[in-house]
Amino acid sequence: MFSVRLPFSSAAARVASSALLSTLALAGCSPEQTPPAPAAGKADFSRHVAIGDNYLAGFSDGGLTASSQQYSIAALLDQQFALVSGQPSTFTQPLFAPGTGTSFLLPRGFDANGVLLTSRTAAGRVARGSFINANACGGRDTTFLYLRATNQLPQNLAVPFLRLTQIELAGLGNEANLQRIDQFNPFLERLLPAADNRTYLQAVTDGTANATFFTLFVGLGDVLPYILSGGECTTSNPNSAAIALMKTNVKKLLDKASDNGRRPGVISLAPQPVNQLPLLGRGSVVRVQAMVNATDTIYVQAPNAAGVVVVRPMAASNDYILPTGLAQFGKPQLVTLPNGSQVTVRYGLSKRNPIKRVDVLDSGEYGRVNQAVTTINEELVRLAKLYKLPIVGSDINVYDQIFKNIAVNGVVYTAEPGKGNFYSLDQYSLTPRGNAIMANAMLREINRVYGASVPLLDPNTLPTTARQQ
Amino acid sequence: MTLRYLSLGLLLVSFSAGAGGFQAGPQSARTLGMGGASVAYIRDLASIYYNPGALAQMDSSTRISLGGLANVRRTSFLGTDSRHLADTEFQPLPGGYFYAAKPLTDKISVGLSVNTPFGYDTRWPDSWEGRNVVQQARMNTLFVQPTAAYKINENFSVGAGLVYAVGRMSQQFALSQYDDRNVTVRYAGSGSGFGFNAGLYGKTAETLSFGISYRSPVTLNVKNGETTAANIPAADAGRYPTSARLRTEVNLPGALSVGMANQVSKKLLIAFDFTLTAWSRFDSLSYSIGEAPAMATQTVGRRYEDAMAFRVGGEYAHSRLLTLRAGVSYDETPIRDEFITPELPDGNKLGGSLGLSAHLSESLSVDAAYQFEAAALRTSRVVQANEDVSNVGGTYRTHVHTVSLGLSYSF
Repeated sequence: MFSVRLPFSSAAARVASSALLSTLALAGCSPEQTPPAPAAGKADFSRHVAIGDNYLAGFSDGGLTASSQQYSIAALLDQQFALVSGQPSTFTQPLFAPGTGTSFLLPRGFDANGVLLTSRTAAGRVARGSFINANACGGRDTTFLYLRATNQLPQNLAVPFLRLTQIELAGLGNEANLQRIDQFNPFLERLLPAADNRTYLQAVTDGTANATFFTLFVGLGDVLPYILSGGECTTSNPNSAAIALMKTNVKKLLDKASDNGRRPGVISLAPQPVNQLPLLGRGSVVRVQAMVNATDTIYVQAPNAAGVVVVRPMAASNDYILPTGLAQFGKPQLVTLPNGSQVTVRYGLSKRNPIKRVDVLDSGEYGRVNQAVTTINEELVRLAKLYKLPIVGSDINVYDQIFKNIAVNGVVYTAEPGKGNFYSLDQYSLTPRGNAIMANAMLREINRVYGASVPLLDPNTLPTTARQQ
Repeated sequence: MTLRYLSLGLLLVSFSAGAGGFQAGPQSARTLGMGGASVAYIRDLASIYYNPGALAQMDSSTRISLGGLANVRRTSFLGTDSRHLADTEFQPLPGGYFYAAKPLTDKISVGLSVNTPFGYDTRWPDSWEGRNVVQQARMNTLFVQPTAAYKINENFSVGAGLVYAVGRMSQQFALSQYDDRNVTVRYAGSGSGFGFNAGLYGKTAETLSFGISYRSPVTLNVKNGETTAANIPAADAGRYPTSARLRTEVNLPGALSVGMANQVSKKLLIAFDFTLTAWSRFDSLSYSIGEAPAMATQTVGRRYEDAMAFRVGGEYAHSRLLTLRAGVSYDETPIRDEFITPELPDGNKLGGSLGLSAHLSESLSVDAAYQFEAAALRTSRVVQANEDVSNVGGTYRTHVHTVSLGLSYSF
C-alpha cells in the first residue's frame, strides 16, 4: 500500500507545487488596462500660443515670479498638449531668472473674523528702473522696469494687467514711456525687444505667425485696477465708451488669435458675475454683517447719483468691502472729528469712521465692472459660436462651481481665500492647483469640440501655492 | 470635534464595511474546488457553515478538517481624466478553516466551525491619484460557530448554529489638500457580534439531495476604534486631532441559499447552489468620532443591492486515491455603479475553479484547490460639483485568486 502511495504523492506534490507556482505567477500581475492614446483630433497642438492677461501669464499670490510662471495655465496646458506628440513641451515663456520676479503676497494667518491677512514682500524683485507716481489715485504708486526675458516673442504672450482698451496703444511696452501714467505696461515691456513701439495687437500678429493653436483668456485686465482701487481711479473707469472699445478690441484680438476663425484654439472667460471672485464675494454685506452684531449698521463712503462722495449705510447688494478694508473692519480706530476732538470708533461701524472709498467697491462701481466683463464675455461667446471654438465660462463656469465647492479626487476646493486651494492670496488669481482645475475645464472643451483626446491634469499633484517653497 | 471636521470629506470614506462583495472565497479546499457549491454537498465538513442541516446526515465517524486559505485581489485602475494607471499591491489575505463534527447519537450530531468568511486587504500606492480616498483598506474576520443538527428521518435533517464573530479593520487615506504628501488619517478598530445559522438537508432519492440554509446578518460593534492623523500642519491641528475615538458598526450580510446535488453516475457528482445575499439591508453607514457627548456622527449612503450568486461544481472520483473537482461560479456584486470606490472595487465575478483530494489513507486526505475569478470592468463616475462624495473617476479591472490547502481526517 505504502509503495503505491509514494509515487503518487510525489506526483501530487509536483502537480501541487507547479500549480502553486503558476498561481503565484498569475496573482503576481495585475489585470491590464490600456490607456487610450492621446490624440489631437481636428486640432493641431504643435505650436501653441497663449494670449491674455494675468491668468494665462501665471500671475499668482499678487505677483509674477519665476516660480509662478512655471504653473501658468498656458504652460500647464502645453504640458498636456505635448503628450499627444510624446515629446516634452517646448513652450516658451518670458521667464524671470530663477528666484526672482515681482513682489508678491505672503500669508499672515487669519484674524478673529476669519479674514485672510497678507503682507507684501519684495524679496525676489529685481528691477532695472522704476517710476514713482506720487499722486496716483489710491496713493503713491511705483511702476518697476523688470529684466527683459528674451529678445524673441515667446509663445506665452499673456501680459498681466493687459487692458483690451490698450491693445492698439503704440508704445505701451516701450521703456521710454515708463512715466506715462496708466499708459505703460511693464510686463509687455519685458516681452518685447528694447525700445519696441509695437502695440499688443501687433505683437500678437507677429507672435501667432506660425501658430497652430491659440489660448485666449481676457476680461479682467481692464477692470482689475479699478476694482483694486475701490473704484477711485477714474483713469481706469470702465465707462460706456471704454466698454464699447473693449467689445471692439476683443473681436480684433480674437480675430488675430484665431486667424479669423481658421485656427483652432480655446477661449476662457473672466468670472461673470464678477462677485464670484473672493476678492469681492468675501466682502458682501451678508458676510460682513455676520462679523458684527445684527443690529450694527455698516457705513461706507460712496459717490451718490450726482457723483458726490457721501457716507451711507452699506447697500443690501453689490457693495463689496475689499480685503484691505476687511482686514481693518470693526477694529477700534482713533478718529479726529471736524471740531478737532478725537474719539475711538470701530472702523466701518460709525458714520464718523465709515469704510473708506478705496476699501469698498460700491454698487455703482460694481455695476460698471460687471457690465464691462459681461460685454466682453457676451462678445466672446457670440464669436466662439460663429467660429465654432471651444469656450469655458458660459456653460461650464468653473468660478461658479468653486463658489459652491467642488471635490477633485476627494480633495475639496472652495473659494475660501488662503484655505480653499483654488484662489491665491490676492483672491482673484489662482494657485497652481486652481490653474490646473481651470486648464482641465479647457481641456475637456478642447477634447469635446475637436474630438481630441488629451489627458487631463491631476490638480492634487501640484503645489497649493506658487510661492517658492 | 466639530462638524467642520466632518464636512471636509474626512468621514465620507469609511471602513468599507459597506463596500460589498468582500467575501473571502469558499471556506474550505473542497468547497473551493467545487466553485463554492456547498449547500447540498455533504462530502465536506464546511457544510457545518454552509448548511448546518447536512451535519446530521454525515456518517457515524468523528471528523475534522482544517486548512489554510489565501485570497489575492489584483486590481488595476485607469483614471478617466488623467489616464494614469495604478495597480494594487500584491497582498494575499490569509485565512483558514477548522471544522469538527461528531455524532452524539443516531439522531443528533454536533459540530464546530471556525473560519474566515469575510475580509479584504487593498493597498494602493501611497501617491496614487485616489490617495485622498484610500491608500490602504483592510478587514479580517473570524467566525466561530458551534452547531447542532438533528436527523428527522433517514432522508431529512435540520441543524442550527450560533455564530460569534470578531473582526478587525483599518483604513488609511491621505489629506491631499496639503502639499506634504505624508499627511494621512487612519481609522482602526475591532469589534465583535453574534448571529446564527440554520439549515435543512434532504434526500429525495438515492441520487438526489437538496439543502436550504439561512445565515443571519452579523453586526460587528466597533466601540473602541481609533482615528489617528499624522503630520497635520500646525495651523490645522485643531481640525484633525492626532488621536480620537471612533465608533462604528460593521454590517456583515445575511444570506439565503438553496442547493441541490445529483450523483449523476457512480463516479460523478454535480452540485448546484443559488445564494441571495441580503446586502440591501445596509442602506448607509454611520460613524462617530470623538468623545461622548460631543461625538460627531456621520452617515454615508451606500444603497447596496441584494446580490445573487450561482455556483455549479462537479466532483469526479478518479480512483481510490484521487478525487478531482471543478466548478464555475457567477457572483453578482451588491455595489451600484454610483458607489464604486477604490476601497474594494468589486464587480460581477465569473469564476472557475479546480481542486483535488489525495486520499492518503482511508481516513486521511489532502485537499487542494485554486479559484480564479474575473470581475467585470467597473467604472466610477465622479461629479466634481458633488463635494460630499470622496471618490476618484476611473475604471477598475479586478482579478481574484484564491488558493487553499487542507487536510481532512476521520476517526
